[in-house]
Amino acid sequence: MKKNLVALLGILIGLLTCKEAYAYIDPGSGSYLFQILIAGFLAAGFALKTFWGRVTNFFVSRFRKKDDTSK
Amino acid sequence: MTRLNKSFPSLPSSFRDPSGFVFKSGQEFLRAVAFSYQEHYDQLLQSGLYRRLTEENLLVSHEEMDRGLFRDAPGIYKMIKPLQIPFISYPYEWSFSQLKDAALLTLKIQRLAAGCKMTLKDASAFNIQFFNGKPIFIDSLSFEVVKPGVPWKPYRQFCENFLAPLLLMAWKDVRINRMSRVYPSGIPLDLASRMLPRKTWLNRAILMHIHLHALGQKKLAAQGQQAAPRASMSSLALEALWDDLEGCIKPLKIKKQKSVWAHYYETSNYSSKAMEAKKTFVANRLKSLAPKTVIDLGANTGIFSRLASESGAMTVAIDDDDGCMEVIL
Repeated sequence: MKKNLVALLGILIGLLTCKEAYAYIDPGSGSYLFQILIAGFLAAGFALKTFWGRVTNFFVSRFRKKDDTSK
Repeated sequence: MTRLNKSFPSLPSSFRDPSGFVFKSGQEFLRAVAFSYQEHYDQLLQSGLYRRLTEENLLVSHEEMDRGLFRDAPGIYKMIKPLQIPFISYPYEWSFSQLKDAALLTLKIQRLAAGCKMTLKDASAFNIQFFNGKPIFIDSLSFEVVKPGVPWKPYRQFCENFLAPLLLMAWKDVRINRMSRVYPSGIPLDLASRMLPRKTWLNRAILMHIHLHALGQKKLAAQGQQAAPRASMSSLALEALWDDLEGCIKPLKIKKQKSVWAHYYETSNYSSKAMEAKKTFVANRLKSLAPKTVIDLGANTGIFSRLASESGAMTVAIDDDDGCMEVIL
């Protein structure tokens, strides 16, 4: 959780220090680029979550099988 | 495509999407599909996505009209007759749970579309209606063939149409949803960021999708316009984005409302005997009149709306009190 917030703090500082554009621009294009900025962060978290899910599933299914055979 | 085709004049409200237009024929709403949308329409049907979505009642089904009807109309690839939704409601009229269900449906459809090499091109809350008490996606032309590496185009729209109002309802006041009437394209994220309590800056998902996103819109817009054509995002990152948005929305709840009306029947002068008599009276009237449609204005907790629904009538329960609206659903 703390590491997450530190990484996001990095993004926040980056955003605060870059200049604003005063022109006719579509805020959607800002969203587009912002998505790419957070993509790596989200992908890493998701990969970890999926991996952890597989590990717990593996052990849960093993213990279940053992329980079934002991019965 | 000729938008104002003489034989099929489009409805004035059907102007946004160049992929087709909606028009009225007699009492029915029909939809013309433009030739420019042909590739996407064919992929929707041939990939099995349409079948899956309609079988699960996630998307309105449609039937294709006979080509003879529009042979001479320029630019029209297909003409479809979608399932007719008997009662149209709008996102700013919905309860918190209805908007939440609509948001989760949008994400579910997006994920299923990704599995068929398609994506949603927009994520407007107006793409959803309620049919038989459940949300259903009504925009059959919202799907497009996915281009590898392209970021999720509707990210901004999803945050403005769903995430921002849901967070404001959950963290501030459920009545804030009515604000969406003023902002039909979605609540601006900088406004949502200002309105949300400061402690939401400590919530990772809210910090990312609302506060930093709002800052990003302001600061990255110029760079975004130049960088957009080169922008690339992996399918893992896209899956992660949808998963993160879902994880942010699913646990949201509204604070218990101090609603007088939601406890009206418990605290009112109705004795249990009087209540039973009223129920019997309403049930008998429903039986003798056998209405096709019942609109229960000031439905309170929906006790009598349910009686109407059970009698087979298409029932719409309407109430102004947000506490009641939550109980109804």
